[in-house]
Amino acid sequence: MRPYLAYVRAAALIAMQYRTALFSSPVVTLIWILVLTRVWSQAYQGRPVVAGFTLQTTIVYLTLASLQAVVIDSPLPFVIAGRVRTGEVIFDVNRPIGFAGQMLALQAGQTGTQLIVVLAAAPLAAWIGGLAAPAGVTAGLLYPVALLAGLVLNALLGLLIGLSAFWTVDNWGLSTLYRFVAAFLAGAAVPLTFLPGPLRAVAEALPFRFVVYEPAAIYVGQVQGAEAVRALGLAVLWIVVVAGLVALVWRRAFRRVVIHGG
Amino acid sequence: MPLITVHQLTKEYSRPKRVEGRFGALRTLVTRERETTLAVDHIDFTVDEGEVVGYLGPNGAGKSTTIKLLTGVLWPTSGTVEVGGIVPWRDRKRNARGIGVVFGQRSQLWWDLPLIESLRLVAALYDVPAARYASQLARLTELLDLGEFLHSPVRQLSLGQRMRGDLAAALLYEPPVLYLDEPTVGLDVLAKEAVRSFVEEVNREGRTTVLLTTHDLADVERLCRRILLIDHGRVLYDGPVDGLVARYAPYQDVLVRLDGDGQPAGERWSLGGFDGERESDGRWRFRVGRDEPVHALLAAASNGHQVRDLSVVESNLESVVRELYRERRAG
Repeated sequence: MRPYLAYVRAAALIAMQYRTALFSSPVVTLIWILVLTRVWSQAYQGRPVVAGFTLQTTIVYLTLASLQAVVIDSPLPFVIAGRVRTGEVIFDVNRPIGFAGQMLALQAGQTGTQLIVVLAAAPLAAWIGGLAAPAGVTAGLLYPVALLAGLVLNALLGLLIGLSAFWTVDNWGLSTLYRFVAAFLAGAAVPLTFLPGPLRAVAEALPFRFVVYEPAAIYVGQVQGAEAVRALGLAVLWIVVVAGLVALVWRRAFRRVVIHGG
Repeated sequence: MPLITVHQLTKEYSRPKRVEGRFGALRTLVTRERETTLAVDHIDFTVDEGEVVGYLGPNGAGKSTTIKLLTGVLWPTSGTVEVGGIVPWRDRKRNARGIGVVFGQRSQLWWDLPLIESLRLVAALYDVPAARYASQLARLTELLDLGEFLHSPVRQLSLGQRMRGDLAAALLYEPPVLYLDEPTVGLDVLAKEAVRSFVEEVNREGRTTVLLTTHDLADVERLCRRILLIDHGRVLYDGPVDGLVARYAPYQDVLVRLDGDGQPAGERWSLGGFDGERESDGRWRFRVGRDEPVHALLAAASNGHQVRDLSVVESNLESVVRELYRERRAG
């Protein structure tokens, strides 16, 4: 365990080196939350419920989604691409612990640091009017569990995309596209129930929704009871599937590993 | 029983063949033809415990590929390697515990963090016990003079400081084998000296076995008793430094500068049975075999010529390598 904790610590130290970046994203997010509370009040135009969401739950949902978006930001595709490009990856693959484990520990360190900052910003979000208590005791207890599953899944997906750097050298385009598509299909922009049928079916079939939508929907009580438990089970299933994919892709990536530079 | 055994090691790189001409780039993407390059071609050698071996060759000779195969990050096309009984690419993680790696061109230190944090990370990775870490850190800090920049972010270090930091990271867990890939590249004279005396020290004190690639032959002359010379992926020479000079440059050069009007015309001058060539600075260079008498040339030169100065240049490792590289370009 000691090697992994050392990576977590190093990543946290790196995140804290860049304080401007660390604190600016919650500030921007708070401003965004301020905007969305006002915009959505207007958009509802007095209607009580839209696509299963009341105005209040939509605002709480989107606030949570925005705060979660700060935390789920995965640097792994860029980190891996950088290390492959410079050839520094030769050191990573020459360690007594596996490459995937190192990268996931780095992600954990970064996520942990961001989580603390976001938790500090959460009372402000509540004060702006974007946050309310969870829908119930069960929702309040299930939310952190669902969020944790989402964070693990998100880290694995980031790693999977990151491994593409071993084939393409430069994965900037793919990573950027992934970030945008994954965030949207995760429900970071609007609750997935707002999406038109076909698009919603796509989002339902993919794992991204467990990263943002399901935890936030559990929190506001949109997803509850057996449905919430089923969502958690599916999230765990996806974690197993994506972890298997990572292992498979890594084996192939390593076989064809080319360390750039003489 | 050697510590490192390399047997018939071969690595072939294969990549899609580039298509020239119209839409060449696009056609390259879909072509099924592949071209292969043989980076390492049936290499054999062994390294005993405690040796410092210079692994030399021109750029693109296959040095780095060999190091990558030895560390286990590349799979060979054929052949075997054993490092302390471990086949590196089969048992990469176990192999990693027993080797330290330093690349002059890249760093294992974390750019954003103070040097000490990278060392701490390495200690945790290799499970160095706290007391052992403290004593190793103290020893390396003293040997490499890390004290003044141990707490500075790596991005602020000079190249020489960074290289010392990299050496410390590679040896913190006391690996029995150290691979150094161009560790002095780009360093100033003092920094090079610091690297060399450190390697000398860890080899003497800790019996660390070192495989060193470099283009600075002063590194080799200072550190290695034995060298392996490779080119086009093949071993050209494996033996002591002196033997290489005797085999590839069995001569010395005599440089003669004449005074006055007695200058022979043209670019060539035959004197006392030796052929001379005019250098760009006006001196004449005569190549005299090791078994030939220099005095015959000296006598002929002083007979009727005003010799202003004369020097004898012993061939050394550098002249050998220069000679070899020249042959390679010509061939």
